[in-house]
Amino acid sequence: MRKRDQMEARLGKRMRLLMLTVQAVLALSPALALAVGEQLGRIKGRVIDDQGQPVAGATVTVEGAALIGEPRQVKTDARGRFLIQRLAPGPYQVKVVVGEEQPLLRNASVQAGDTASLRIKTTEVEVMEITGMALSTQADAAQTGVAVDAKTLNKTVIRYFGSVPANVPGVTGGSNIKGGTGRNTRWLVDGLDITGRGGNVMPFDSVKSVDVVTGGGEAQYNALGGVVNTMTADGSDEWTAKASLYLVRAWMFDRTKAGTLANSFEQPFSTTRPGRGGNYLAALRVGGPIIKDKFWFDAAYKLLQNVEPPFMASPLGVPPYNIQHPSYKYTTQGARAKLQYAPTLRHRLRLSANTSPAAWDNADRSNSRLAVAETGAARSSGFVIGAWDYLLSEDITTTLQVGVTGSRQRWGPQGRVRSVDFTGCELFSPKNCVYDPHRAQHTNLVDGTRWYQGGEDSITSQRGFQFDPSVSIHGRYYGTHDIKIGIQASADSNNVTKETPGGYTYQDRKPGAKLEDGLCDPDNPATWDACYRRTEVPSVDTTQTGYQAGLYIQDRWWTPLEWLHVMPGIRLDYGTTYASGGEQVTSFLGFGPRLGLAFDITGDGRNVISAYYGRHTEPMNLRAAQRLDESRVQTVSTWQWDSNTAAFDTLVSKSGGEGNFSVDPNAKMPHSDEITLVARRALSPSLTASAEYTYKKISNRWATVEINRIWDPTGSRIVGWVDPQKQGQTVSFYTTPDDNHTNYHGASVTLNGHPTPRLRFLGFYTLSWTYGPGGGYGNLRQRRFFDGYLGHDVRHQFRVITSYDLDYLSFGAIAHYRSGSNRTKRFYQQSSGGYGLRRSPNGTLPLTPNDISGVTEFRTPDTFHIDLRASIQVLPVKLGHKLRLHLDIFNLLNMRTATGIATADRSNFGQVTGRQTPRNFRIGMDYEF
Amino acid sequence: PVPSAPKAYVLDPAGVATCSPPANYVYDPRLDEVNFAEQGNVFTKLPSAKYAEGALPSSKYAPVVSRAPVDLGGAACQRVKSENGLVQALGLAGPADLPADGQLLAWLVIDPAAAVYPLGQSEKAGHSGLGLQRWGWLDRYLLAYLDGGPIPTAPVPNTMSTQLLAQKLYIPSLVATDPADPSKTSPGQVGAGYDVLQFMRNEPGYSPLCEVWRYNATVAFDPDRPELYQGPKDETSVLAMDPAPTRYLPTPQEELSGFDRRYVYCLQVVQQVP
Repeated sequence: MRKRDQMEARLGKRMRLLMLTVQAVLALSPALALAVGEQLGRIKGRVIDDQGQPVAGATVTVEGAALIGEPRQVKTDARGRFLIQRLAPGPYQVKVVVGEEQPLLRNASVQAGDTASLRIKTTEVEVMEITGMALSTQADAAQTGVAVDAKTLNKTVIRYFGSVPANVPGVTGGSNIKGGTGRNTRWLVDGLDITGRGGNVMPFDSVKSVDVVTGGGEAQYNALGGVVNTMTADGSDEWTAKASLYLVRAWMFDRTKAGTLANSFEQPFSTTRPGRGGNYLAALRVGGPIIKDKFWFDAAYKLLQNVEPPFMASPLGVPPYNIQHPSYKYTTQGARAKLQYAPTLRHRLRLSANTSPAAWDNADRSNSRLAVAETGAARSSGFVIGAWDYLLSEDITTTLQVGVTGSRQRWGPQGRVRSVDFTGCELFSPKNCVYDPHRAQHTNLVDGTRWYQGGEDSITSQRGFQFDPSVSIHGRYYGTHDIKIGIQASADSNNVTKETPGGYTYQDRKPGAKLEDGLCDPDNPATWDACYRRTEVPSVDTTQTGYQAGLYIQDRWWTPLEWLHVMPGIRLDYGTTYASGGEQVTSFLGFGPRLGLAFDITGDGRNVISAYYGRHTEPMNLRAAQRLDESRVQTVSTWQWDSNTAAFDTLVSKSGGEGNFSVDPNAKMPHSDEITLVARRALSPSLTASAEYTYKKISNRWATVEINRIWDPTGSRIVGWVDPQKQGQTVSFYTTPDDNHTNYHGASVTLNGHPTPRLRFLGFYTLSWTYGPGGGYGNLRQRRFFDGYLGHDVRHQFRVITSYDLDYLSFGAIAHYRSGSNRTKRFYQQSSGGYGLRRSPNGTLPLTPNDISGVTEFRTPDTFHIDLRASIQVLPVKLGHKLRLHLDIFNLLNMRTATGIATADRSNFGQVTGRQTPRNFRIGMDYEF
Repeated sequence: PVPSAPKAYVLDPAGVATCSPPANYVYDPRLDEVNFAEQGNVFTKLPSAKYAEGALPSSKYAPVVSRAPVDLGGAACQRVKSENGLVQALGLAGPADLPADGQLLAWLVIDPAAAVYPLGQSEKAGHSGLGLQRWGWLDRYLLAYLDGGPIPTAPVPNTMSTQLLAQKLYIPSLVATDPADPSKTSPGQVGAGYDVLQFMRNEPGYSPLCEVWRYNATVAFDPDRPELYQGPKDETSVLAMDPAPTRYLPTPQEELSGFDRRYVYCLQVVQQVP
């Protein structure tokens, strides 16, 4: 008999309902991903008698559908405590036997890196206990964040795991977590760090849960921002499969509101309409046993294609040309397979592989160029993860995890990377109807049109290897200790090749001459009056390597005081990078102490207060080596046409070249210091309220300091050059200044759980400030104005994610209100001829010149939107098969709030440049058994 | 009495810095936002304007300050950045302890990012637009201004008043701006590129305030090629063309608008080290 059948037979239908409830409760519970690489959780607890005295020697057995192999069994210690480690995420049944007494049964749900805590009284023989409560108040940890499982996600419109972090308190848009930018967030898949390794994506249906750790990271973590740990399906002893299809067509967008913007759909005074674009998403997942109880598999595939025909707009999309620009097309596939093997009780092996090729066509989507000058892209990427858990005993477990990643991305001219659609080329010179991969690109500065060639052809190949051995020890010394010791080591290489077709790009200018009439051909004297500037861009081929290793020790000490957990941790990291040729570029040794305290103030796990301090470091960053390499071999110079010599021989600007970029040998390692305070209360067994406050400072961020230009006091004009022999030359120093830091203050209140069996709910309000110097090193005179609110500062944020289930219907909604994004007014800058000059700090604009000290916050308007999903199950439940139809409505209220405004001090200052996407629909269906 | 104007504290009254630079200090124009071997003069009021939607700002700003010379007595250079800071640095009770000396100065506050070019220079010619303006302070903010020098004054006979003395600025009655058609002319305008001033900055009769005079002549001036201008460039040449120039009379439109062009500020500034 299958294990689930055995359980259900024992526990009955009532229990089965409870299991569902528990899973639902825990779906939104704050999670404690223990470590980078952590894929398993654990159950701990205490058995006491009716007098509250510990029961020693009780037998505790754990089994569940997610547990491959035999049930796990331990005995309680003298304090009545027990711990069962290395449990795969999922629902479990805990059976406690005291002597000859009737077994006590409890339910617990485990998530990756999580501890499900139980408090079992020998007098409570009923099964009716929902164990999620203890988990969600986190009596033994100080970490913050939320884990969202697939069941919850499938009730909402979310179809991409990368969209999950934005739904978590402490995340200020995208994956900017508590002061960190998206770059500071570590992305893990089944424990493997795929951050920055080639845009690996996965079939969404293979996602089991997404754990977003926003703060309080224990020693296993090392991230200046946060951690997004995506767990994928493992397979099971039951066969499962799911097939889904989603469609979006152009007519599903609301077009009733006119506007002048590209996404307004109805253009005033224009009879043109966009083509029939849309997208579709097809996915398939299958999982089941190869050998029951021992060998499971899960495999998934997805195909997504998005087609967007651009509006027909000036200059090429309107009369007399009326060219419908070829559609932008994005196609991506994802395939994933995972095997899990448990040959014995003590051994557990996992192997998974993922690949996600993708292609982009006509990515510029512009009516200012024919397709021969378009941009295309192609990506191939993948990763393989192997993991081996060895349970030496119930108190000692070793784990070895190994991962390999690889990716190759190419962005470049459409004709080089993909193929050209020559629509409309016959209306211009024959050059436009034949693609020459070595022809240079021309830009007509009069009308902004581009001709003959796409941009730079850039290929980035990345490889990574990760090796993470660890040992977990459960011991008893003045209380109980759960200690984890591990090493996280990785090696990465990054190869970049860049080639500008023809070696040059031309910027042509002939007053009044538009389109091809305004282009320069240096070999044709008749066109010389259009010759203005030419930029010479040599090719690049560099390879950088980096190595890092971290040693960490983390303890969770349950002190003899039953209400106090102490979580000390420490980690030591070393990272180094090398440029092409083997020259060492950076070398950092970092020290990261961590300390967490958790007070179970009522002793029953219902009211917990925790405090945390931790330092995280960034020991390795290949960017410094890459920039050094590229600068050495690539001197980009712009020359102006001299009509007297009929040549481009007047230097305008120059960057790169040997000696013009250097990395500070004394740079300090970027690091963050964080203090987090949390109070949690279980309002009911299935509903938790929490309040948290975090202060984080991210120090010594990398910055590029320009050191050759001498600026006037306003930063508007270049008045000289440090090296007179390098006039016009940018000389950069890459370093980590002490005053380049980010500060984050944030407070959140969260309500999280399952108020009724049919209702899921996560709602939070966050008040936060993100500020700091954060830039301006290209122009030291402007530096003071970069000290202000940073781009990812969001003052107020209120979000609700909820769903409600009826027998055959379910509704899910995401409602989100957030403060507007900050902007900074820009003024004319003489040195560049553009509008880059600031006169007030980040996120502000000056008031009238009558008061030079007067500034005011400058933000886009606050936004609010609601996304809704309605699903109907069309097959009878008793069949055991599910066929669901989905209707997704995005921006239900059709809000068109401005999301972008012109910030330059020109006549269009303050004009709207972008709005919320109008209301649109998506239809979908899936079949599952 | 001297006409009233906002005070400006001149902190190097004898033209020599009275502040103390840091030990062994060498001005680094890349890293130092100001020269710490000098002390910027301190203003007490900004120009003000009225701003309204759909209209250009309007202002009645007069670029005149009352000089208040102050000897810093060796205080650290550039430490003083405001009137209050100056009072505190000198240990005084208030600004009243630092009175103006009766001399008016033509100091024109300008946008710090504005380019100021010497005659014949331009951005295209590679000039940075720096060097003619000076840097001072107002309420801890760095401020840029043009120093037009002292405004001469004289008592008004038979009154208790003092009047500002102006020099003459000559403009031609007609100007031919189209080289292709010299017969096409228009009335001469102030500040169009062919003004002739009576005195240079270093001459005794110099004043940054000008009274506009019109001489009866037609001169050729191509705004696109100012270097080709062949008309009069000094008072002697003007008087040779018209021995009896007349005071400028406002046009009816100017009278209606209330914008009087009979007197203009005509600051001549001295090139500073940028």
